[in-house]
Amino acid sequence: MRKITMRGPEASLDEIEGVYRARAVQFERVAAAIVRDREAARDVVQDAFATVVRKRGGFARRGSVDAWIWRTVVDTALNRLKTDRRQTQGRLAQHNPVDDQVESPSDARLADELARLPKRQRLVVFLRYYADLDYEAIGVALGISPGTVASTLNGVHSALRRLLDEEGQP
Amino acid sequence: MTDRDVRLARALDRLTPALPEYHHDWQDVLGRAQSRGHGLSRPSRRVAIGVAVAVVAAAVGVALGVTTPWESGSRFLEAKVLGRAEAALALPSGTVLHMKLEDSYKDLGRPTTITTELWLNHHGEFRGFVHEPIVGRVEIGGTQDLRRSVEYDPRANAIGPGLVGGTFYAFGDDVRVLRRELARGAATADGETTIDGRDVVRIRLKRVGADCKPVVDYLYVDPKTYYPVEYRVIDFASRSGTKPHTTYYRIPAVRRFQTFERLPATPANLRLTSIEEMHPSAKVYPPVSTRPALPPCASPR
Repeated sequence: MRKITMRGPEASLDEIEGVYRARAVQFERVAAAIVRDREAARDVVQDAFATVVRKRGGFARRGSVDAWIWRTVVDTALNRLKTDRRQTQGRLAQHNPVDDQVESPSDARLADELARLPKRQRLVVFLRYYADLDYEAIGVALGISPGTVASTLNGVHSALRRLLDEEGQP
Repeated sequence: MTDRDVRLARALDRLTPALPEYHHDWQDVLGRAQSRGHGLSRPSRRVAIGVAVAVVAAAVGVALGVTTPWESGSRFLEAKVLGRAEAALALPSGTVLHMKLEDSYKDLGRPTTITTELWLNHHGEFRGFVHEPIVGRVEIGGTQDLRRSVEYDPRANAIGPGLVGGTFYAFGDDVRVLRRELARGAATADGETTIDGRDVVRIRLKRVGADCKPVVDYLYVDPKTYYPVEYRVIDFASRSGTKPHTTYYRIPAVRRFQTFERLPATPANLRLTSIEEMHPSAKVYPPVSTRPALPPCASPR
């Protein structure tokens, strides 16, 4: 019999399912921040995990399973953004908050400022604040070094300084 | 956290608040995974072998001690050997082929042995068990032409590709491949020898490998029944992410046929060839083609 096997220390289904059950809320939140659509975000998460399940044999354990899954979720969300560009560009241009809540002027400004940030800065922000990942995990998820993550976040803080200082006003 | 961190987190929280909970649907994830086309890429591996293959092949020849070169020029005798070997590999209707195989190879220097027990019917459907050190015992099934290759997951009571332990098994059928190779004239009878003290006839099979270079495999058959005894074959593993013609590396493997017998095609024996019939209550994922894309240079396997 000819056999093609994928062997090695691949991520097990149990391991992947464990991450899915423990952190789906965070995955969904980051995906929502990227695609600006709650329903699409859930679809992104489900699709991303399907990809992870399919490709688990190729996981080489050069980082944690979590970071690898984060990378897949971010890639899937960015791809969704690309393929749905016509619709999502409209949403991004309006910078609506993801939920249908009344947007305050300061939130609208923050959304504007975020939209102006380069893609990498935005992704670092989402992974830092929505997923609560440390610099190393963000680095693995985005394929950059922890030092670059730190300097990117510094850049974000500088870019948003005025707005954040206002946020601190009573 | 600095003050700015806190402020930014607070503002971001308003923009994209966390959902109170996520409606988990793991079955949906598995369903999506099954319904997409399966890439059969192997895990990334270090490139192995190269010139070592020739050394290994030579060493194998010495170890086997090929004692009696086949009489050259005896075309009739050679045709008879190849014809009988081909006939011995047939899957006649009314029978179920039962095989126990042991595969041994070194991948990246790590010796590995996989044992397999299979039942095949004359339509080319099979079911069986694979036992390998990492994943353990996996029940597999499908068709020998690789159009379908599935596993049974006892925990989920489900049948589908790649369900167990992250290992994807796609079984083709060496029996069918060998028959074709013998029929197409690429084989030569190559003398008699012994393996573990047992007399065998050696058949040399030439083909083009996945790395676009010639490959020579050896099939050893019983001199009386012409049933296969051992198959020394060059397997190929690939690295993902590189150009197709550079992705394959060679893994010399030894496949021992510990059992090769034909059983009568009774309803009970035929049932052994169908994974669905053995698990009638299992959820069956929609069939997907699991036939791996052939590398540009490889002989069809």
